[in-house]
Amino acid sequence: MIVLEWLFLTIAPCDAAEPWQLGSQDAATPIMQGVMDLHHDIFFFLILILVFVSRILVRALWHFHYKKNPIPQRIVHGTTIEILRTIFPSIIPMFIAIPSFVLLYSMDEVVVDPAITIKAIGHQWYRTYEYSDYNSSDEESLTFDSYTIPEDDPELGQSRLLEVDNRVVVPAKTNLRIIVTPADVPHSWAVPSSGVKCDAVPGRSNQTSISVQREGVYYGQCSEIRGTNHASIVVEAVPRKDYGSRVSNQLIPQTNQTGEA
Amino acid sequence: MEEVHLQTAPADFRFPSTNQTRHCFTRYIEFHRCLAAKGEESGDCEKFAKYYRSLCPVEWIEKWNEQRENGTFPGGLFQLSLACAQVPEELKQGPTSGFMTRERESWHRI
Ligand SMILES: [Cu+2]
Repeated sequence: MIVLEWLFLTIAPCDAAEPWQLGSQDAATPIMQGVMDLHHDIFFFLILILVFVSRILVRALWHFHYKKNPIPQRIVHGTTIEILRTIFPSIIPMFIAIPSFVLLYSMDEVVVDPAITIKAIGHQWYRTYEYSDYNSSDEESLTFDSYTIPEDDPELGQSRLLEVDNRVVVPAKTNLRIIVTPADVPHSWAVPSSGVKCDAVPGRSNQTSISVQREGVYYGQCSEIRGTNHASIVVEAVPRKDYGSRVSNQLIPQTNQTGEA
Repeated sequence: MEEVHLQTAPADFRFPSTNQTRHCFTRYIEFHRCLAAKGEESGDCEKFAKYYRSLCPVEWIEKWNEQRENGTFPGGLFQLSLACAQVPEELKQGPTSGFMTRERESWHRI
């Protein structure tokens, strides 16, 4: 019970989807913050256009109703209005496109050297994570499997069909390289609060860089559901000073268990 | 528990895109070319081994190790062992150098 309290009172599992959620989940990385800012920027133009077009539409319906205006207007030209309605619609996409491309390329770019590499390998029935930065031979490797907790089995406080048995432990405020690849069919690796959705293509390894800015537990789901029990992705960001002990105390025994089974 | 020193394969400007498949493969080949040129005793090649272990899925490494034992590995490992003495300098010239062209050709055979 103490363990449960410690787990769920200190680390609130709030970075998961909730029922009837409309907005994004809270950002945990600068990229996700950028995604949300872009969304709001675009919405500014969207609402501007919506209001303006609705106004024209309603005014036209009101003033040119056949009862009010039985004789139709004969105007077919208006140079000023034609120039305006050509210029403005071509400027607005530019205001949307420039921040959009800036964000797109900043997502792609790896500016700083990553501190750790984690390989997220999708299987049809589970996920495998490899931490191989400290391997001294090809045979040895820090690998563990992560299964979705089945629907009838979650403990009190666990999120249904989101929680996994072994979470991915990462250090917070650290540049991470995630190598995403599947072992069988196409999958993906997506964590909404990190702003990451990376396809896993057989025979190819994709890289995505994240830097989680706050400690917490982040829930994501595979976006290529080919198989079962493999959809959930849970990233647990721990303070950097605790990372070493978490990895060496928790992951290595688990590796031995699954490795020998 | 003391804080672990975090270190991994650096970002490589030869492979700036999302697709890192060839980054991993190239590091694997570099390691074996380095071994062929310098021998196992010199500790210079270990860093390439660390890089490819960080970047490549274990399954791929196992497959390539097997292929090397059977002599069916598709990447050129030994033909250029002379050039290997200057591997890092050579590679700094980027994908246009002859070193990489040779490798690109062999890539198609996978
Ligand atoms: Cu999947």
